[in-house]
Amino acid sequence: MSTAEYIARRALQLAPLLLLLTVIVFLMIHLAPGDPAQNLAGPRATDADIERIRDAMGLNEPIIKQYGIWIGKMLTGDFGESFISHRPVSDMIVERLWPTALLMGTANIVSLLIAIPLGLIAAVKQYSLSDTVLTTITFVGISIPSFWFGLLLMWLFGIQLQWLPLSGMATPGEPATAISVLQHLIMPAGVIAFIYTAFWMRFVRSGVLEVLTQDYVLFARSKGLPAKRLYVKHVLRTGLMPLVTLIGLSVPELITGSVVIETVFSWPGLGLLTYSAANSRDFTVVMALVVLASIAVVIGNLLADLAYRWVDPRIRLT
Amino acid sequence: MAVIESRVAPIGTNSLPERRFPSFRQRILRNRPASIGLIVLILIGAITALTPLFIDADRVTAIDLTSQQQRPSVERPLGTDELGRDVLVRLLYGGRISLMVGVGAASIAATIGVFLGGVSGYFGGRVDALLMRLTDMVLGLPYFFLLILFASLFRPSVLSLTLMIGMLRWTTMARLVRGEFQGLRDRDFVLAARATGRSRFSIMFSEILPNAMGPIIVQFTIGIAFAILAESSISYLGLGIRPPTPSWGNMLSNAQGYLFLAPWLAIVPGLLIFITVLSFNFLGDGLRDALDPKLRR
Repeated sequence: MSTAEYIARRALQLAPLLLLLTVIVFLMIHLAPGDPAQNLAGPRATDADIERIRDAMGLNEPIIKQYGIWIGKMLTGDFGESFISHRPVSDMIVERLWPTALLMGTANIVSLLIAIPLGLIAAVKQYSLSDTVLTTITFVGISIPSFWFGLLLMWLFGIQLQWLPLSGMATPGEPATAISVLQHLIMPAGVIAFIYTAFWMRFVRSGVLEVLTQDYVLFARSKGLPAKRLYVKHVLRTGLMPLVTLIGLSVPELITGSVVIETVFSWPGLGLLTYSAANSRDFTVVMALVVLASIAVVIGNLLADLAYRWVDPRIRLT
Repeated sequence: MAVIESRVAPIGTNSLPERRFPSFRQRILRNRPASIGLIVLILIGAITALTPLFIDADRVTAIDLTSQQQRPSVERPLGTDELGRDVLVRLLYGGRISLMVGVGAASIAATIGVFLGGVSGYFGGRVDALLMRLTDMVLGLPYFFLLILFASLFRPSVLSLTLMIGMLRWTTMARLVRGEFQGLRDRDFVLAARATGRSRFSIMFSEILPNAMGPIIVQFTIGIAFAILAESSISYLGLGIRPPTPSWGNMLSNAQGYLFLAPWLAIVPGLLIFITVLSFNFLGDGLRDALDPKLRR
């Protein structure tokens, strides 16, 4: 079956998942204690006022109908308005997309550029000093709490040494040039990159190790194939396969993975939006973000699937 | 320590050198990070567990506005926080909570995973397909976000938070156990048990399961590491354990505002999270190496 057919088939399989998710989110909101109309009206509203608001918000309709209305609106891109700021949620999300994309994109690319060669080295020189050092760094990376690491860097580079700005994407009062954005970007992206590198390096190392034990590698070596060509061209391609799947599965994290770090550094992206919305109980925003996140997960799984099939010639879509 | 000696010598030849297969205990202790991790964990576990015997629970929330943000001193070995509370006391009590949530969540994940994975792996066929579908669906949910939503709606207690975090990770365990059970179900002792007419569940849980315990324990240990990180992250965001109840995570979020004045408030709780998680990861990795049947060294 062709690629297009495969994608269509998988998408169909994943659609009920999305549906299930919207149901879960919707139910959670409605089962929660507290009445949104009352919250909106404030402590001094009369019962009549609250009823009026409930009607206006459509809260008196049967649940199924409310659910249907919500889904319908989402499909047309209307995610409602924030309880707090009354701005359309879609606007709020769109304006936060770029900062998060910049942050996560940079972090991911940097991690890949570092993790692949280092993982390769660690595997090839297994049990050597370099391997031990790299493996230790890996353990540190997967164990360190990201927010703590961020705070440490903030303290060291922002307060003690004063080399880098402390928070946000730009300093108020100063022009937002590319350089200043870069300065603000270094620490948050650095934290994320370090942790990702640690996770990915592991996978590269184990993937490559698996390949290195294969007979055909020994054969190529004994044939006289120079080491560099062997490793980069042949070993790496196969050894990277597990990593490719992992990367595909990390696609959703482009949207969801930045919550903590954005909170630490007040980076104005989707993650910070999630944090503030969740803490101020701005449910329309949180709901929209959860739905967005699940779409991202679905797409990510799909990409991981496709990537795996593409990279492994044995499973080419025939 | 028991060491199995074995001479591999064909009949008629002279003595060959003795081969020594190190015992499990030897292999674990040989792995230095793992043994250090184990010691650290035992220390931390013992200290936090015994804390209530030595330090009154009231001191956790004892606000003393006259001594805010003091540097470490003899009386208050780790100083005080922004409300004058003793940091060391909060650290110890917070450790109890963080560890309880971590171990509890990992246990829940392990229990669900073992059960579902075991059933799936043993019975195979349609049950397997169905359960794997379920697992896929669960994997497709953006759990961290759902956790955030849940936490902001329902203000979770320690118990419900543990439950939610536990639900985050059972799929890895389920996959693992499924693989193990699939491998073991065709072995002789299982066939023998079936031949003697034992009930299937009895076979699963008293015959097969003990043989699969190795990887399960490894995954459980690593699961604890993950759960502790998850809890502290959620608490840092203000959505998990809420002040005044201390948790290593929310102590860090309090400390952020005072990074200029009192940096130790931020350094210490995070350091403890780091050390604990690192120890669990080292331990888990060491266990995995020790259990690996392919003796590499």
